[in-house]
Amino acid sequence: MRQRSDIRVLTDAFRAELLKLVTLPAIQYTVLGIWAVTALITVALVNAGQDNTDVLSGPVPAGFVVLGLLSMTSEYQGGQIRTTLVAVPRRITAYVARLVAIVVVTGPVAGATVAVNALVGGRADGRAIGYLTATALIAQAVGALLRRTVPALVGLLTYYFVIGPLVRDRSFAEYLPDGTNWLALSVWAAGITALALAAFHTRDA
Amino acid sequence: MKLIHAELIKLASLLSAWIAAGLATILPAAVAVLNSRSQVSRGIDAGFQDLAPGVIGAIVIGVVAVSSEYLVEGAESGGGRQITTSLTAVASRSRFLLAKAAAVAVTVALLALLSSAITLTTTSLTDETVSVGTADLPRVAGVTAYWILTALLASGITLVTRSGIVPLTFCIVNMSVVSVSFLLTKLTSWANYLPDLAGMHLFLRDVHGSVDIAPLTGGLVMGLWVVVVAGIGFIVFRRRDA
Repeated sequence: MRQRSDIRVLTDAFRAELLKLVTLPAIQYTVLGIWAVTALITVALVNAGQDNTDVLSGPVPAGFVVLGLLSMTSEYQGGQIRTTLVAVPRRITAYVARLVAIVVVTGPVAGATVAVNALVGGRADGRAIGYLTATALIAQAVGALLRRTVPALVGLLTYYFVIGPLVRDRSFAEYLPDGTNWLALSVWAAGITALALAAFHTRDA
Repeated sequence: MKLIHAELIKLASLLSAWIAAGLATILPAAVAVLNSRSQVSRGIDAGFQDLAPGVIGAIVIGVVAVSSEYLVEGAESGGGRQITTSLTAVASRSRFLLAKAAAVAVTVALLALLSSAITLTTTSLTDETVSVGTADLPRVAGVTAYWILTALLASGITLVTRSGIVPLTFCIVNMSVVSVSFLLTKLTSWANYLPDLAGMHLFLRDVHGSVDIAPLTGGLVMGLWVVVVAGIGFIVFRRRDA
């Protein structure tokens, strides 16, 4: 059999990861839930006479935390990860393929969420697409580091919904992972992902 | 008693339960310290307001007590789940659930009392405008009741979903500063009778709701919610294959 080229190995791994992600019922339900909650709360905000894009920085990121987290921790529920690593023994290739698949899934979902919000509420905020995707990326990295869904979920949600709002008035809040500074947000997402990649590369599966 | 003891052992062996205990005891005290630094006078709810985020610990304990039973251990251990063992040991499903509810309630009650003591002491030490005395004991009882009821509500939802992800996300996001329930009060004033908002009246005297609810009424409304949701969970659990 002819040796596959490196590019071919990566694209095959990517297609496999994409197939796993889009066929996972938990992911499908999460996406549907995100859209339903977005529509419902947008209606509530419009009725209250508030800015309809508030929902995108309010409850909606929780859906993207779950989306990012599940796309990683689902590998560790029941030993799927061992099958994955038998098929793609190179750890870096396996992780990068999954990462690209997550971006390819999360980006359009975030776009559609913003579109739902704009259709129901009237005002669109395109920047939210980037924020929501970055949130999902941070969540997948935390999931890859902790490998257990519930502790990771509790930690992330406590940060985003309890601790984050409490320190929002401080001067440094802008540079935190739930802040609004683009550079800081990118550095957080890239930094935690690099840490997760290093852990995945060195650690027993 | 033996069953409750068994449930308590199972609960104590969960990493998430210990994280929850840490959150429940440390988070409110930390919030109290943060709030005491701000110059704004916080009035009658100082200290008690800080106890509200600690309920996250109660939520997590309520959820993992049930969801851990359904966690698949992995193919290498035959895809086993704790629930199979539990129901082999205790064949009566109602006794099993009652023991679980009792274990959750006892754990959360202890955490609530401990956390109230720590937080209220911190508040009176760091903020000299606040004095906490024995007159506040009914409100401490209110906090304890609120935490227990929230934990049981979370358990009830988890009994139906069998996975911890949905109830955890739903409950934690909803206790954020701008909660979904609070947004819904802008749609209809009936939303003030949702379990979290009604239950808040158990220990807070200055709730920003559009309807004024007496503490006891709030507690009863929340209790009714728990009875309904936990009742649904109970019936589903009785009738469904494990």
